Amino acid sequence: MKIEKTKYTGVYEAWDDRRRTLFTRSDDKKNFFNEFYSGDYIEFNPSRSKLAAAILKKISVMPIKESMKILYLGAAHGYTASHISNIIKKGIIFCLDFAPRVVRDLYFVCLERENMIPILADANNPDSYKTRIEPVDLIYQDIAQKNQIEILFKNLQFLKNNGYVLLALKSRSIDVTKRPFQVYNEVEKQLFQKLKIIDKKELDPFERDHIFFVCQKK
Amino acid sequence: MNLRELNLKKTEEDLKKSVTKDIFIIQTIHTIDLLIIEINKLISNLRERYGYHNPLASRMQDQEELIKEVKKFSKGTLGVDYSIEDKNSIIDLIKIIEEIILLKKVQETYLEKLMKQECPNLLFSAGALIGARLVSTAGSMKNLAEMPSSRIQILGAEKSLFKHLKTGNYPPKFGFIFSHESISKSDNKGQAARKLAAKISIEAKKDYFGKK
Repeated sequence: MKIEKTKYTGVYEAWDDRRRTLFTRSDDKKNFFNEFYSGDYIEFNPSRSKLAAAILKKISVMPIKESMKILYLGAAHGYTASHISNIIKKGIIFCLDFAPRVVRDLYFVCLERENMIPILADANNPDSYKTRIEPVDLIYQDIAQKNQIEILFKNLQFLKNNGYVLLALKSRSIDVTKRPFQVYNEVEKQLFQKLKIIDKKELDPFERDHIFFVCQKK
Repeated sequence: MNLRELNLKKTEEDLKKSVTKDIFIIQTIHTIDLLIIEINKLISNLRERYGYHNPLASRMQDQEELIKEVKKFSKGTLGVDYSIEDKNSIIDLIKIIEEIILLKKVQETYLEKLMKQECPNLLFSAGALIGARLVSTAGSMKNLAEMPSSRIQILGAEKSLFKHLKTGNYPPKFGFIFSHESISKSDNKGQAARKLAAKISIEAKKDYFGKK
């Protein structure tokens, strides 16, 4: 299999029989989630990670670069977080989650990675973890909550000027009764108050009724 | 000490604190639910196998009576002769089923003991199985105590609730609490469900906030 670079930093791709697989490169060859791998390269599965799905849907900008500081809200078991830690290398990623059961799994991933830091806290009140993190270049949010945008705005205090925001949004968790595009429009209006939207992509075949936003702080 | 070590240590402490007795209740009721499914599957299989030997006896509804009947192994009308090997394989199956039933009983007594310590009032008003199922769906005692009674009433009927929200069908009247005897015996089931749910919500609040 021939693995090539893509236009996104730190993400690699390979073609076999019309299918395109994404890879990230881990120098310590640690494969936490039993994914397919060849050499240093570990598969980045789009049905398990919304970032990978957005990349496969050809999003125009992927602002995660080397040696960035990142705040990840809703890290869960740490699948996407471990791949981001592959990309940023000497940067730092703060992985925050609310549920103790998934943080237990996340903790063991973080133990083996120098650049991952686990935090068990509620993203709803940033005051509780204010002293435990540093100002960051990028916020990645993937929490299926009704007041998701509100939570994001509360956490913007940690973002540096001109920092980026990556936002995965599940329309069904905001309102089941409304059509997805109605929800997207409302959310976009809310986001315009504080952020500038660079690109958006629906993640249709991988995740149903999801959308992925790339924004920048005004 | 740098930021990473500090955070790792704090997370470790938080994780240890987060384990409460609720989790044991939730895990035990999961085990019991799995065992119930397993017993039902095995017994329907046993009924089918024994049916060729004694068709009439295999139509018994009660599970315990059926097991007693199979142990006698008497041939009925329309029955076919079974050799010793055929008989032995069925007897082996019964042994396993009885062991699983015993395991289920042990788990139930353990659950009752747990709930007597954690939430005695909830145990009194809802019973061990229903109370534990409510706690497990709510997520924890805290969530259950903060719920309004109308939500407790339809806990466990999420499928028909969302159908109601999406299409405008009739809303559900009861979820898990339907198997409580005060509802299944009553003529006006909706009213009884409202009463029981109100009672349960009061008791859950008593259990959770009463300690502090």
